[in-house]
Amino acid sequence: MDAVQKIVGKALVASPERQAEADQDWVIVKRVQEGDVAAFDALVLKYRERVFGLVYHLTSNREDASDLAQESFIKAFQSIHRFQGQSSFFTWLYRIATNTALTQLRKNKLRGFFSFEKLHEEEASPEVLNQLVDRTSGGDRGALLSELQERLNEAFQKLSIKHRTVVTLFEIDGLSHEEIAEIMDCSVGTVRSRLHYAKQLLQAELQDYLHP
Amino acid sequence: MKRPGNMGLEELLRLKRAERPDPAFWARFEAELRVRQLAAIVEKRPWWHPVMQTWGALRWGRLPWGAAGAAAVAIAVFWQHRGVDGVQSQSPELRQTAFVAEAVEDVTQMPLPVVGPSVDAEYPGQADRMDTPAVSAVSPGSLTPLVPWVGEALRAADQGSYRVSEALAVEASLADAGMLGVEVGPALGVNHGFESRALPAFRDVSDEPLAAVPSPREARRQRLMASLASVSDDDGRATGNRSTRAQVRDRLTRRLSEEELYDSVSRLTGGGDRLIVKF
Repeated sequence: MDAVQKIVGKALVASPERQAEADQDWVIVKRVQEGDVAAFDALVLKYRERVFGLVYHLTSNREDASDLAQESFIKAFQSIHRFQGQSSFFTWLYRIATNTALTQLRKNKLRGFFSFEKLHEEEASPEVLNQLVDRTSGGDRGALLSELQERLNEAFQKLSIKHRTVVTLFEIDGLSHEEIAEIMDCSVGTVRSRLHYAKQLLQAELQDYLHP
Repeated sequence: MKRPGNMGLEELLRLKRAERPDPAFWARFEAELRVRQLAAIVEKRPWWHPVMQTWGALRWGRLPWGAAGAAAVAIAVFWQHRGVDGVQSQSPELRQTAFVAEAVEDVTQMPLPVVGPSVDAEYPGQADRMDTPAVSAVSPGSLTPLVPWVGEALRAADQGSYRVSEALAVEASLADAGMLGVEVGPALGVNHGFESRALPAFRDVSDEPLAAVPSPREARRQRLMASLASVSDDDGRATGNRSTRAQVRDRLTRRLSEEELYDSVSRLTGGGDRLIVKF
């Protein structure tokens, strides 16, 4: 276990929770590397929603996101014997998913239309929803949410791939600048710059919904 | 259009976190992933995958020794191959010469045809023309340009289409050279691995049945001599000079014999600073 700590200690871990998470993942990875293929299911079950969410926000199409998320897990499964624990498994898996999605986006082989997931109202911020209801003066709540969801995804797709990735990882997945820099294989300053520029573009696109 | 009650960008982006699929979606997702995972397990690796694995596992410290051993094996195989197959290791010219030597040996073993001598008996002048350039043409280096042609001709003869005609041509040339005492082997430059053998003697023309047929040229000569004799007798009787008739006959006979000069290439002689042409 000391060796595991030594290796995982090299990884960029933002918090003690992430450290504990990385240790657990490393143990599972070692089991998979030793031939316990069924142990990989635990990793899939743990990260499938986050990987799917990442790819979904990059593509704005649920079918494409499903295919790309599955492809990301397959790539991770095929390459897991080369994972040496230099970074956390979560970062390594996110890098695979990001590269897989970016490759498909650059090839422009994805579907050319939006296919949104259902927006769960109970998981959304109550303050935001209340402000939207008040603004529509008691209008149709569901229609208002659908309109906002469509405008958000349109604004996302107007961003470049790299800016879209940075915003997704930072604002939606809640990763730190350092983690994003490690995933995207760039500097932290580049991440900050891209994030700033992407927010400016989004504010310009969504100015009807923002504070003056 | 500005709408009332706007919010911050982060609050709006937080709404996207609420976009999540239903639980039924995850059941389908897991089933599909299971199928693809099993397919990936049993999927056949590409042909270059073992090569890449070998390349990755290669111990680079031993690479120079392995390369030196491979080079030594390659050199040994090369020299062994060269020692066993001496003909293949020779130059293309020597190989061609050896091929011609074998072909000449085959031709000398073939029976002589009947057609050649009969033609010579009917037109003996042509035989003289064939003999004359052969003396000056056969020299140690003069047949070297003919070697590729002979090789091609004999190769075509092996294919069967022109076997008889080409074999006769080569046979006639070799027979002429044999009559003149010229050794064909040194002339062809074959000194290695070629055993020269005696060429068969030129067959006597008189043995052939067509040789008994009188030549029309000889009949014409006898007829002219007879007419000239009668003319000279009449002239001699008129002049009464016997010596004069003998002189005329000798002159006419010499003139007739000089007709052959028109068919001979030996009428051209030269020496030093002059050229003499005989008509």
